[in-house]
Amino acid sequence: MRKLFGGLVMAALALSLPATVSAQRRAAAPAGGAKHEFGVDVGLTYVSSNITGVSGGIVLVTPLDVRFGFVPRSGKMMWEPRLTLSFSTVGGSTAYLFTPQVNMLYANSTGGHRRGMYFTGGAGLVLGDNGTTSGTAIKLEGGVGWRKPYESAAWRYEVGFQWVSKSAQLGLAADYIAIGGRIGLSLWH
Amino acid sequence: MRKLTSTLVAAVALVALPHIALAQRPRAAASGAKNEIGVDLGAAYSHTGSGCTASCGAFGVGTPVDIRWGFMANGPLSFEPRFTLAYLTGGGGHILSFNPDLNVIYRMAKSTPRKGMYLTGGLGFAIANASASGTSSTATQLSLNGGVGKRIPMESNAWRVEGFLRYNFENKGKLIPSSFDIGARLGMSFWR
Repeated sequence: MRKLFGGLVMAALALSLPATVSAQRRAAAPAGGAKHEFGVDVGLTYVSSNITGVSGGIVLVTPLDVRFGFVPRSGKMMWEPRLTLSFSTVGGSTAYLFTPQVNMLYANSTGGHRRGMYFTGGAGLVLGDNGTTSGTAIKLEGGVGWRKPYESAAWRYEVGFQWVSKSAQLGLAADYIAIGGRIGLSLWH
Repeated sequence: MRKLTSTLVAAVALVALPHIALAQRPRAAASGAKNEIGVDLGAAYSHTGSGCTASCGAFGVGTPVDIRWGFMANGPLSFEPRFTLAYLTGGGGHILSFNPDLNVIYRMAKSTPRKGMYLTGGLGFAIANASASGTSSTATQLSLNGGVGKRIPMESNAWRVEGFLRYNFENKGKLIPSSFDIGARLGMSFWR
């Protein structure tokens, strides 16, 4: 239980970081400039598990997660929280998997945060309970991506890797390395 | 395999229907946007019907629930496909889960495509296919849903809240019981 609360506090901190950073800025995006980049993706990865007896495999998922980026008024860096949540309680047994994370995106093109290439790196947590045991793992990821304008939106492609630390309680949801990509649509407001 | 193929064809037809319907219209909605795209946080209480003897109730919360991709229309009726897809392969086996759904959205009298109340009803499939050690099996469950929702403008987007009921039909051949879901979903809609 203490582990869970510790994990939840970390998750809350991670999720509040972009808002805190945003609060330090003088004002929101100027007229015509978006404040948030919102998107969902389809993800395709090769997952190599470090668990003994578990072989690697391919995973294809959509929607992969929810990403909600905070677009800065200027500068090349932007923060983007991403999360998934699955919670169920059946017959007195409760299970959940919560994966909050924060990514930093560094725009590497003149198109800023609307078009062109960017680098990204992020950290997050994997908080899970299978109904009998609960555990927490740390995840780190990095990648490179591209935004390609599509009318008022943009296609977003990203390739990268992800490492998730060991947690015997989380089973297959932890202790792996994944290499792959994600393709999705970004919309601004 | 034949069953899986025919189910997939049905699913593709389901997803393609709004495109065909859209093609019949002279032009997109007056505001210029063609699609309403969004994801939600969903919560539902499920009650298993047929074949359940104990612990028939369940509660779940999750995000993202699915991807919804609405096709805007000038009239009060519009179509909104929703779907999820998950495919895992490894160790010589695989698991596939594909849940396409097509909803019709009817705007209430004083509502616009971007704001106000609406009624919705839809038809969906839950398709699951798994294989291990050379044997493969597929199961499909049909569902019907209905609900009432509201779009609340928020700058250039809108919050969307919807209460829904869903009935999942029994698949006797695959021993999947019928079930009934009641819940709500809250999310954000973006237009493009």
